[in-house]
Order: sequence, then C-alpha cells, then structure tokens
Amino acid sequence: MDGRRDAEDERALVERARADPSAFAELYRRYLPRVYAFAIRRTGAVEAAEDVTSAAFERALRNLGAYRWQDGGFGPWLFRIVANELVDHYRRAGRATSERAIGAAQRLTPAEPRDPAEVVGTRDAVAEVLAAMSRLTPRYERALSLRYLSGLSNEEAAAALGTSRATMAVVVHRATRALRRELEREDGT
Amino acid sequence: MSRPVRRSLEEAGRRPVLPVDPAFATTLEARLLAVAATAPPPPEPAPPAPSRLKRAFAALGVAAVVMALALLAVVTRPVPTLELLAPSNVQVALVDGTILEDPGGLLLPEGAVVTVSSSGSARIGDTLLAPGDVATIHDGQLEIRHEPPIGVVGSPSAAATPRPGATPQSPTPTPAPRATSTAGSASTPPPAPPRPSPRPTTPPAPTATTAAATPSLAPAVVRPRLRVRLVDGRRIRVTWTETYRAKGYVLVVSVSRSGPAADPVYPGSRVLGEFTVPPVPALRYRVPNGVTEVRLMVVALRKDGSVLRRSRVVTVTVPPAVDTAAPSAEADATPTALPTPTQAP
Repeated sequence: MDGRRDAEDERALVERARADPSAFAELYRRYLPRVYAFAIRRTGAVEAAEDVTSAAFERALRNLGAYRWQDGGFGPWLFRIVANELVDHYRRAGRATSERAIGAAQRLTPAEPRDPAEVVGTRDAVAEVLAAMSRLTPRYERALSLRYLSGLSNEEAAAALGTSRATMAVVVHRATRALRRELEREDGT
Repeated sequence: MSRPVRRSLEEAGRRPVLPVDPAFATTLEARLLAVAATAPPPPEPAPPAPSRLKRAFAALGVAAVVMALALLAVVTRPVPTLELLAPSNVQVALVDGTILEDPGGLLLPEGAVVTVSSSGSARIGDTLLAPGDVATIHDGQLEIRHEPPIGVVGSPSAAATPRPGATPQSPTPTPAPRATSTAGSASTPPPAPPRPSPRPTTPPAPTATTAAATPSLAPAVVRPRLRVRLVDGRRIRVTWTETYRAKGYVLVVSVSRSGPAADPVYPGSRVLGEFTVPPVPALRYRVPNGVTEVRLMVVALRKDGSVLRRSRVVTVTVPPAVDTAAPSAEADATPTALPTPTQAP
C-alpha cells in the first residue's frame, strides 16, 4: 500500500517537475545519494563520479519532457541515463585500462577492514573487474553495472535496461561470461 | 572463474562509498535550477507510436525538409565567421579598451581592431593577414588596411628579443583605444604556431604558478581547466583545456582596484571574448592600470549558447605600480618570482 502511494507521489512529483524546477529539485534530492553512489562505485574517483552525476541529472532535466511514466517509476529511467553516462565516460577516453583507474578504484576503503591480505586481494580483483567491464560492449557494461553497482533491485535494473527480468538475467549471464573471457585474455597477455 | 567474477562484482556493489560532498550537492542543485530557469519549455511527452505508413510519410517529410534546408544553406551562403585563427604577434583591441594578444579562436566583436606586427601573421576566416595589416570589424564586415610594419605590436621591449628577419623599429600606437600605453612583451610565442588538436588528451603539466587542479581521473564532461599566469606584472597569460561537447567558450573577468574582486559570473560579468577553441598558445590580457586583483573564469557553451561547464574561478593578484617600461626579458622564464594565482575551491 505504502509502495503504491509512494509511486503515486513520485508520479505526481515528476509531472510537476516538468514545469516546476522546485519539484525537480525534490526529485534530485531524493535520488542524488543513490546516483552518486552508483557513479562512484563504477568510477572509483570522486571527481569523475561528480561529473557523471551532474551530467546525468542535467540530461534528465533536459529530457524530462519526453519521459513517459512506466511501472518501474522514475528511478529506472534516471539510472539508465546514469548508466549511459558511465559508458560514455569510459568510451571517450578508454581510461579504464590505465593504471590510474585501477589505482583510483583501489583507493576506496571498506568501512570495516577485515584481514588485510584478504582486503587487498579483493580490492585488486574488484579493480581489475571494473576496469575490464569498460572493454565489454555498451549493452553488457550497462547490464552489469545496473545489476551489480546501481543498488537497484532486479526488477528495477531490468526496467532500467529496458528489458524483462528474464531477459536481463540472460544478458547479465552473457555479460559475466564475456567479462571472464576478457579477464582471462588479459591474464594471458 | 565465473563465480569469482560475480563475487567481485557483488563485492564492488556492496562497497561503502564516500557520501556526497554537501558543497557539490548544493552547487549542482543551484546549477540545475538555473538550467531549468533558462531552458526552453520541455517538449510534450511523445504520442503513441504511429503506424508504419504514417512513419514512412513522416520520414519522407523530414527528408524533404532537410533537403530544402540544405539547398537553402547552399544558396544563401552564410556570412563568414569573423574568427581570429593562428595569430602570432597579433594584438586585438576591443572597444572597451581591453587589449588581448594572440587570442586564437576569438570571435571578433564589432569594433575590434586587429593589428599584425612586422613579424606577425593571422587569419580571419578565409582572409590572411600580412605583417603590418590592421583589420577593423565594422558593421560586421572586415576592413583591412596596410600600415608600415611596426615591430612587435605595442612592445617597446621587443628589441630585446629580436626575431630572425625582423628589424627593430620604434613602436607605433595602434588605432584602437588602449587600456595602457606601456607594456612589455618578452614572451611572445614563436610565429605561426600549429593549431591545437581538436581533442587534447594530455593537458600541459602544471607549473608552480599554474592554477589548475589535477584530478585523479579525467571526468566525463570536464570543466575547462583554466590556466592563468601573470607574466610581467601587467599581463596575464590565459589558456584553458578543451571541453567535450563545447561549441564555444566565453572568458569572463572581474577586476578590482582595491580589495578583493568579486567572483565573475556568467552571464553578468564583463566578457573579455568569445572563442571557438581554447587559445593555443595562450592569449595575453593586459591588465588595466590601477587594477590590483583580477578574477577570471571561462565558460564552455553548448551549440545553443547555454552553459555546458564553468571553470573554477582563478584569482590573480597584481603587484602595485611596477615600472612596466623596463620589463624583464626573462619574466616568463622566472615564474617563481611572480605572485601565484589562486584558485577558488
């Protein structure tokens, strides 16, 4: 019941935001932490995350007039924009393969440190996986980042990708396989 | 291997992240509100998808309109853009007295006077300017007259750094109003500099007096990184990095004759010039007499003229009343002796 009311509230807010900037500001404040968290998980760098976040919100604002309400709500649409901005971010410079990107991802510190060796090993693997993601096709990269890094539920991630949940599962499976191959290829070179 | 990959992805998704910087959140919200206030009314939601036949007719209609527009563009020949290209030893005097030197990429405004020195060269649109040429923008048209070569423009110190083939001559006042009458120019770049590549990927390394932040990663749509240096006590060298998707740049300035200058804003503050590309090599802005502090900001613009990104504001403190008649020829080579511009957070 509450979920339905929230959705109705959000729908009304989106409708108002088409003409009222303060309503968009409300949407912005509602989604900023999640969007930023998504961006920084993917990029590993504060400045890059801020730029992706600002570009995504700006694009959302400009395209709000063309947005049509869907069952998933406003979030999946916004996160699709963020995912596209992230893909663009890496496509433009191909910087994910650089030492700096891996280093930036490694600089993120877990809140509760575990065994140092394990922590270092995990973070290295995470950084390598994130770097390799940018070498996948845009669709695979979007699927993986929406599924694992966005904080969206499976349904929301599928809506953000514009597919059904079943199709999303297939795409994620194939993307994971492609990512594994990419990492193996990297290890072989 | 698939499981470790998935585990790594899940691990990445569970990682705690730094909270949003409140300053960033506030700034972005203000910017979005500003964009919303200036943006045209958003289009209505798209109607339900038309039938295939309707779509075909619509595509035909669009194609016809595009062809008509293309034909119109060919027939009505657009007015050539008055853009200053590849300037070397060129001085531009604006109607308000502002003097800019070698401002490559500058869209010349009405009343601007472009003076080419004896060793200089430049191009305005398709028109090549020869040494000694003085070009004036009048009623949107280019008027060129040839004046006797005057050595390095407005630079009494040019004799200190003669160029091959250049004969030292006494400086002649240019026909445009000047903010100052004396200035040193020991740092004019070599002639005919190559045009910058459209997408510089490696910005020049910051020096001790270069006011540019070094991010850990280049962001998606980077703000222009403004680089400013006071070179001889009265001139400020200005350049910036290119911004993806920017179709133009506006350099805005605020000055103060006592105390700190206000942060420049756009629109609102004085515009030094509009540029199609960042000036490479750096342009030089001659600081008017009496000014003690200058703040600069460059704004990257979209094709429709809306703001894409703003640079940080760079503050330059100008030392009080120095003897500009005898500038040091090595002023540019000894930047540590000069005040360091500071960058606003």
